[in-house]
Amino acid sequence: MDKGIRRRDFFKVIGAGGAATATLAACADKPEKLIPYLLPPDNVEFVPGRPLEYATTCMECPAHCGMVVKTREARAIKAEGNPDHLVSQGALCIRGQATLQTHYNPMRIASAMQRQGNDFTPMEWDAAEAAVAGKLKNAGNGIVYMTGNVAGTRAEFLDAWLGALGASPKVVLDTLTHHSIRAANKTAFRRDEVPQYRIGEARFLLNFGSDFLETWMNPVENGRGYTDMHAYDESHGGKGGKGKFVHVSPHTTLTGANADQWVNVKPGSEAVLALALAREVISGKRIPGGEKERLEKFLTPYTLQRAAEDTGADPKVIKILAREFAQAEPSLALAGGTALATTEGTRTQLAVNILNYVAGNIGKTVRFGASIRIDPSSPYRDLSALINRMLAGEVKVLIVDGANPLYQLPASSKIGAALGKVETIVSLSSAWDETTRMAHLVLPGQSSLERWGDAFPQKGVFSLVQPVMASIYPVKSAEDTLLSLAAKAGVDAFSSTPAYRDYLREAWRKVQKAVGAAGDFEEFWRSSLQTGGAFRTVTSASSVRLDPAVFTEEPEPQPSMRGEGMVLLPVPSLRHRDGKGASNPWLQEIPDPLSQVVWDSWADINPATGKKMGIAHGESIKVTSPQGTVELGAYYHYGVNENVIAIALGQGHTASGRNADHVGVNVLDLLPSLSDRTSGDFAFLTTRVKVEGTGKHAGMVLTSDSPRQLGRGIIQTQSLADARAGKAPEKEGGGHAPRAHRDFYPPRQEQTPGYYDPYRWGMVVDSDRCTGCSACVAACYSENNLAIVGKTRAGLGREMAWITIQRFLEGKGDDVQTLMQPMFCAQCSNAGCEPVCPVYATYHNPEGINAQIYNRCVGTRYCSNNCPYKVRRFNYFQYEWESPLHMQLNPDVSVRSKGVMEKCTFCLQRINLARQDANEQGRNIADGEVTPACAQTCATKAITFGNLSDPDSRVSGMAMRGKKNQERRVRQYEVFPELKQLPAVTYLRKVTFESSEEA
Amino acid sequence: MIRTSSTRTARLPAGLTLILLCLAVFTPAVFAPTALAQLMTDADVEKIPAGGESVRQPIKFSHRIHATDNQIDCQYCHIYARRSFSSGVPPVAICVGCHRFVGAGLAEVQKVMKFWEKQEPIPWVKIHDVPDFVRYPHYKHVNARTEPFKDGVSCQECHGPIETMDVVEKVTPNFGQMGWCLKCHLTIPGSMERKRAIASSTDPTKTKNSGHPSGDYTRPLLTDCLTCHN
Repeated sequence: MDKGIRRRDFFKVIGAGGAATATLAACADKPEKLIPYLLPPDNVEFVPGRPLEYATTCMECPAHCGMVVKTREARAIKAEGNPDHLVSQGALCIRGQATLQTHYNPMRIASAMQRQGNDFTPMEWDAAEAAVAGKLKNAGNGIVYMTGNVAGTRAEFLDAWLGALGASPKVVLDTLTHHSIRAANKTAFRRDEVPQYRIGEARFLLNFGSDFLETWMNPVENGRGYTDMHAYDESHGGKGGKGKFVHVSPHTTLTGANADQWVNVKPGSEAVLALALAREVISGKRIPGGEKERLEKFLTPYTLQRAAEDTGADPKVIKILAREFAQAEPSLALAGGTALATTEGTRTQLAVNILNYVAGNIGKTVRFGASIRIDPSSPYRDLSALINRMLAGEVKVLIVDGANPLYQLPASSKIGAALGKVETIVSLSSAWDETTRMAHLVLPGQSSLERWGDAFPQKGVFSLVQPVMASIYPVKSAEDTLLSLAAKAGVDAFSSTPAYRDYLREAWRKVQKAVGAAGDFEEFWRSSLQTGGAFRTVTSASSVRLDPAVFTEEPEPQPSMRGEGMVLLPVPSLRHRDGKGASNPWLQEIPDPLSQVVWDSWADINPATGKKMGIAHGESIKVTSPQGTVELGAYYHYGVNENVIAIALGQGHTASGRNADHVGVNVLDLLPSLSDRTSGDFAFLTTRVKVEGTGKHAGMVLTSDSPRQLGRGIIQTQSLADARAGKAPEKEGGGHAPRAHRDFYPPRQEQTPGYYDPYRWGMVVDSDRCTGCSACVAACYSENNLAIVGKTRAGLGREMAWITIQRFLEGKGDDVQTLMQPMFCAQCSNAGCEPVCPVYATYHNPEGINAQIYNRCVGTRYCSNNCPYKVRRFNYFQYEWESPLHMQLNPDVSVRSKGVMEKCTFCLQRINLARQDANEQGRNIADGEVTPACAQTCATKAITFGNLSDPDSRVSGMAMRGKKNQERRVRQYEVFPELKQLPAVTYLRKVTFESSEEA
Repeated sequence: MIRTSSTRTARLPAGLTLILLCLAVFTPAVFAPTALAQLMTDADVEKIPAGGESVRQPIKFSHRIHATDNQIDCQYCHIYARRSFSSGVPPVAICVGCHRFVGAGLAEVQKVMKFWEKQEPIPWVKIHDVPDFVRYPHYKHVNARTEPFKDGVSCQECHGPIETMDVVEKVTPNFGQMGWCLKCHLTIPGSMERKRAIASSTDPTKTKNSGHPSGDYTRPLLTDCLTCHN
């Protein structure tokens, strides 16, 4: 070592050069400012550096999950599920996680605005209110209020406000509505409601088209129920749990990809299949009275043969399906999404109602009385009527609030022309969007984290919304604006409640009665704010009978599709629903779990169709309907019918900010303005389109390349029989058996005393529970200040996600199976990254964390090259947070700068916070005290975190590590064991049904 | 879990009342190297530290008058030092609490009152700055109970004889640099080890036996990078 230069000396020299440069740069730095409080917060629990949490309600979709928002120094930094909430029970979906970016949206409007030509100029708030109040006077029923949110007390408040001004009834805009379900239940059971579906109690789940893990009803509750019925449960020798899930649809999105079996049917043919199944099922079921005969007579025409012809499915498959459905007690048939999106959706739901009734599921897995009260949105029919009124010039003042009709409604509804005919458009929306850009006056509202409100998403669930921080901009909540508008317009109906908070409090006196809470109201109000709401368990109605009216309804008509060519199937987007979240950069950058596409739209086509038509995967295609043309990339997707082209909703904005504008296409441009014949729901599945290739590359960006594992055994499966028999696969490591040589390094504990005592942090990921919903990815972006890199750089593989959803395909054609699991830093004991770091920026810490010290990192990227899991991310640039998105940054996590490597830390800051408490109390960190962001938000409890050094911890019990547990390992495996990196993350194999196996 | 009900009665005037305590805790850090010593002798005279920007405090505040002449305890004003990572720059209300009655005629006090009348925070210039990628817990040091700091690490240990200063200056140019922190943490016994917790995680009344031969050994965790860097 005497000759030449030693490695450390070399870096010292290089470092000195760098330091000299840095010193020069430092001198130019302005000294930082210390801004004190004017008044210290009077909240006694406040300590700077410790989070304060407020219970509130997520307003991203009508499911309204309970949410806890963490604030630091009075800024909201993280949204999590509220564990005390009856519905969400501690979990949030990807859109709920991204609520913070809706709040800190760079497109938020900072002051009142008035239109001047095509531009807007700020104006005084009072003057703007006076101007609007002037328009409201004497406008009477020429006033129309269009909103996207009528949760809870707000509905009643708006009715009172509109009534006091003599205005038209409110119009509630949402195209993803459930009126078809209600209409069908009204006909079949005389119950005009959306029932509660007890997915968790079913032993067999048959799903007609609904995307219940993505947007349908409450995806968090559904996800939990789905794993209750479907996930393999070790506890009773594998006998409990593991019901079968069959998806019937012309297209699979994430929900369908999770299914054990996909039945590919022609679009709109679901009703016939449901009735044919009912016909098969009924013979073995006891149905009292003459009802059985009537039903049998009614079902006679729906033979298996006919169902097979109409749907295009194999009759043998249908026969087995019928047998399995009949044998499972109880089963559950769901319908929604694409199955109810035709003009005959109500009839499809009727057929599914009959199937559930015949199978005896009503009152068991389908519960009436404890109904889901999804926001009472207006049927599309009512919106069409409003557009006609607007076109006729009958609407003098249109107030839009949280609704974006210009985007959410198809152009063929003539909404653009209709808005042009309105004398005054007033927008109360908090951020710029297409419709607000057409407004004459803008009185921007507050975000859902700044205002008061509530939501009653289900019977017995009363959930409160409270401000978690002061308003970012000097604006008022829409409700408060309405109250002062009423006062200015000379309406004194609300003089007793000058602020909406007072109105809400008064309304909650009724809630106190409804939940049967005795005692002082003040106490009730305080405790409701603390828990996030008030809850009452609702007993469901006893059995409901089938109304004979069903038999008069003719359930068969094949819904007609307009035009020629392939059937166009618009599907709701997991990330953007119907377009609301498109301006949240997280939701754009987190890939769609199934296609792995970011920042774009794509069209799912079957590879066979693509090849037949000469369209390549990734080719730009033109999709033309009588209503319009869009151009987007073709995506070869096995889970789509050969005559169907499927495109997700929610993209293609034109005036919602740079994160949303001109990203992808708006599929609504292709749709005619049609609705369900009975219920009036908007009909998405009504048109055929001409599809032609352009020969150009579409430039779609996918964050993962090969959808095939190529035998690497990253996501492993195990048959149900093997799992129950406790039989682990013989070969580990996906075909590359680990070589039986002596370990090069002695174990850590022997190398350095004190290693892994008392903690070695580790995780277990149950692949059988992961649905790929990507909520964990959004939670990680939020918790760990991950940068957004945009489409171009994501295309170069420079996305910064610390946790990604891996998806791999097995098999071909209709039998293709999709495997999904999260992948993140495994915190290896013999990590490949550590020995190659020339500056010791990454090393193994005594608690088993593979540490990455950012300020030590010089950016050689050797570590990333040497990481077999490819979970390290490099900052190629100095990424920025567009104001005010930077206000969301977590102060406990360093923001990484250019030239620095970063990766998952197991949410080290949370471990440190728990340690702080534990040290003060002189104890160790207890099992379950630390939950990383990804595990916290998981609705299906797929991720478990804990201390592997504690043999009694949950994670130790699940991971079955160590030599003495070797024989008890059944589903446990580590990825790439042959590399002997000794990862701290254990995966549990996905349990699959063999084709002959039954639930 | 601290879950707090919001008991605010009125909407807060936007932004102002809840201005952040301290940018050090929150600043979305890029890795700005530690600012060099910003020496200041007189707040009203612009002093230009080598190559840097001019530094001038908004008010000529004297720690000497407060801490030595009037014997006010540091933590009377720096209210969070024993509870938080941040020592807490005194809220303007604390200044006003006394100066409503004391020293009303003084020019500098009138400046404070002017800020208060305008309901604006005082934009102090930061002299003692640790990089944003370091977590430094004031409360751990103030509450230390090991030799030689039986009564906690005094403020002067890092900040110098601040109670004698009319204008705050850095007495150690290395303030906030890692070697400077480690000077204590590597030499003073007890400051570098983190004791193994004595209680078992499942039953706090029982001591957990780690099975390690050295028994109640302590681990050199305070030299683990992750203790301060994350």
